Formats: sequence, structure tokens, C-alpha cells
Amino acid sequence: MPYSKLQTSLLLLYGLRQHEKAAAKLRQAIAQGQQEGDDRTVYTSLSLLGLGSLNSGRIDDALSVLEEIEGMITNRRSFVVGDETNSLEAPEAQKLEVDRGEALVDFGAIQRSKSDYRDLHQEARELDPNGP
Amino acid sequence: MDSKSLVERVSPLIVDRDYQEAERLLVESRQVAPDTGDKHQLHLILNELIELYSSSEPLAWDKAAALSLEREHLTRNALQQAANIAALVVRFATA
Repeated sequence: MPYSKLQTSLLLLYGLRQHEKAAAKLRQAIAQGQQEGDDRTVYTSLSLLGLGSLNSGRIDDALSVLEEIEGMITNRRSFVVGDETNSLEAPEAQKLEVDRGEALVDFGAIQRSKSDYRDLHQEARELDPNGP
Repeated sequence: MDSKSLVERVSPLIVDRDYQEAERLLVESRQVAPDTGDKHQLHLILNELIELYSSSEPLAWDKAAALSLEREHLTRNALQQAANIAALVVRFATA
């Protein structure tokens, strides 16, 4: 079940702060979710993977993830934008919300300059109204 | 102890920050769960333990992550078992 892999990745990411292991687990969740048609898990995992790439300066990887998310939106896959807020359920994640908002603004800004990505950018603005 | 009773006993302990007693109860129940073959019960116990280790003082992320990996395997096995049963049903239905 891809969701249980996503749960493990959250513990690795926000609990143990083992970013590489978390990214590997997220990729497993994405692959399995795509295989099983679990769009929500795929979307949330992609969002976390993209933010991780962005935070560690891997812009090409982040853009590649964004393209995958964009593809899901274009194909009207069934997920709700904002599902990635599941990550905030981890107690340690509470204090990360500000960073996360800023990261999402950056995330949306990159794509905005690349193509039309209003939904993601709008979400970023809601999280951090004072962002760019 | 059934799932409902277990949650009813453990939840107040966590609220009262009696993490040791909550852990003791859950670990005890976990040791018995495989014998009963109740995968749902085992899944619930793992969930509760992960929740406990993610909120206790001190936090025990390593234990929580290890149990989360175990939960992945449990879910996978349960799905495999369901698939096997479905295959058997189809086989008998078409025999």
C-alpha cells in the first residue's frame, strides 16, 4: 500500500531528518501509487519530494517533479491540492510551516516563470502572503 | 484485549503523559496479536505505538520509523493474502 510508505517517509523526513532515505521511500510510494492508481498518495509524495529537492538546491529535480504534478493536473487526476499538508500532522513539523510556505512560494515562482502554474502559486501565496 | 478496549485504556494514559504504562500495554498486546492472527488488531497496535513514539517525551523517532517499516510489510502481506483469496474464489467459481 503506497500510503504506508508515505507515512514512513514522513517519519524519516520530519522525525529522523534522514532526507535521502525519506526521498528514496517517497520514490517507492510514487512508483507504487502510480501502479495502483492512488493519485492522492502520488501527489502528496511528489509534493514532498519536490520540496526536498528544492530545499537541497536540486532545482532540476524540483522542476522535474513539478512537471509530473503538472501532468497530473492536466490529466485531471483525482487529488486535492493541499494534500501535502498531511505532513504537518507530524508533531515536529509544526515549526516547519513557515519554511514550508516560503519553499512553496519559491516552488511556484520557478514554475510561474516557466509556464502557467497558477494553482500551485496561489496555494503558496495563501501560505505565505508576504512572499514574492 | 479487543481493539476498542485497548484504545480506551491507552488514550487517557497518553493524555496524562504516562508513556511508560501506555507503551507497556501496547507492547504486551503486540506480543499476543500475532498468535490470534488478527491483522487488524496488529495494525492498530502498530499505529498506536508509532503515535506514542512520535509524541512521547523523549521522542523516539527511530522506534517509530522501525515500526512504520513493519506496518508497510504487514499491509503488503494483508493485500497479498486478499489477492490470494480472490484468486481462489475465482478459481472455484469457474471450476
